[in-house]
Amino acid sequence: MVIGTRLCMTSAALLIGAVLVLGQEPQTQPKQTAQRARTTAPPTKNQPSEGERKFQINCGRCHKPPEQLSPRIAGSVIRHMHVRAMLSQEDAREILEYLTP
Amino acid sequence: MSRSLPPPRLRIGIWDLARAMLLLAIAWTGPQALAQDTPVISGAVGFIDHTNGGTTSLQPVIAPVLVVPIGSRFLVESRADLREVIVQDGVGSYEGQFYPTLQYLQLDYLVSSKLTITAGRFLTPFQTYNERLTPIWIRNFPDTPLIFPIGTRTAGSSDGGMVRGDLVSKPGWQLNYAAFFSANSSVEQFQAGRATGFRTGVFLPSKRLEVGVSYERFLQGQNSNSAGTYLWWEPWRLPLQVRSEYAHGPEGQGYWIEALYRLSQVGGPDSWIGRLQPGFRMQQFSRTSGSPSDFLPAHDTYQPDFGLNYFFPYEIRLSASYSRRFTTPVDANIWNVALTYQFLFPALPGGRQW
Repeated sequence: MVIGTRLCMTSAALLIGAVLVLGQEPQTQPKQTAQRARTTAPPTKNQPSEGERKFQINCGRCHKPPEQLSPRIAGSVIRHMHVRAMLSQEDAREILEYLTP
Repeated sequence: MSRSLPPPRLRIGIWDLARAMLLLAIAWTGPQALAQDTPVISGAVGFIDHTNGGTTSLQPVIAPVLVVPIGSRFLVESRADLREVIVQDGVGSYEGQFYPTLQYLQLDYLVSSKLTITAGRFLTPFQTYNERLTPIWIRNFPDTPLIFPIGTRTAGSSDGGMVRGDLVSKPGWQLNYAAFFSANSSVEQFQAGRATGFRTGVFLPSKRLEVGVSYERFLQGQNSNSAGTYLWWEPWRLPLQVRSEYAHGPEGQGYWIEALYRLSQVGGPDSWIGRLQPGFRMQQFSRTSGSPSDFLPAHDTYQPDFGLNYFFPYEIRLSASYSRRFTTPVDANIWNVALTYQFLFPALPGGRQW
């Protein structure tokens, strides 16, 4: 395990440095309540919506969004991911709005 | 041969029971379902060409997932892995064997975002690979890591109860958990060991960084312990995935760490080069006690894996990997090519108002 120990220590040092440099969250819409979000202007092309941001945080770490999602099954898919990805109610609602605009 | 092959026998009675339960659930949920809560069938079909040390197997696979919401707080989920493993014998002819596996069939009660209660057969929540990365359409490398069997005995699934959720959910950090108890079962398709354990992790959304630990107490035989830790990191500024796990069990200890970079910053995610995702995984296992039936390498092993994924439109993915396994008595080359198509559609016919 000598090789493994060295590799782990080196990787850990590199990761810590990289997290500090690359881990900063990109500029997004200011965080806002759900009620405010519905009354403000939609995000621009370069600004991910709150739902997209929540998708990237929760779901996008394992898979990309589906290319097509029928509104008939969107609620079932979100409930499935509520269990799998431990989504909060608010995150689930915002992701649902993002996937079925 | 893949190390994660399921047991080879199928008991029709069990499948009939499972099917009846799911059909009953679908029938029950019908009149109460909301417009967006139609039951779902998803999953993937795939074809895997696996060569290990000169022995090639061809594996057509279908891995269906069924999701049936019941009312506003219940959910029935199930996933199976149905594959034919076709191996060339010594005289050049091919022989196939069918391996059906019921990976989970569970009933969830969604109390709140902090608590979901699960009963039935579920994926053992030890580390992250088993719960998050085993689907053939999600995993980055076609082969499971060397240390995957640590903590997930006996079949990667457990029969019993589980609680899980986000214990703390603040803008800056989240604390998630899963704890379970499993009964011993030797029923075919429901095989599980008597065990208990938990996984918990801290996730920093602003960094997309998660670290966590796992523990499992195996309550059969000599009551052994397994423990592990993991780290996931997907930086915001790069299409990079870094994942790693370390696990220690009575059989030995080991780790894997993988990094994959999608070239979507070159020409965009839909350009031909932007659909490429090269990756590298390093893994090592050190054995401390021998048991030929524990699905872990028989001797100390380390293995670099080189992978390349290509994401076609329409949810089609082509994955290829080459690995060099350094072990006793002989080293080996491992090649994999996998083509998968992910599907997702309503489980009930269209035109019906739900």
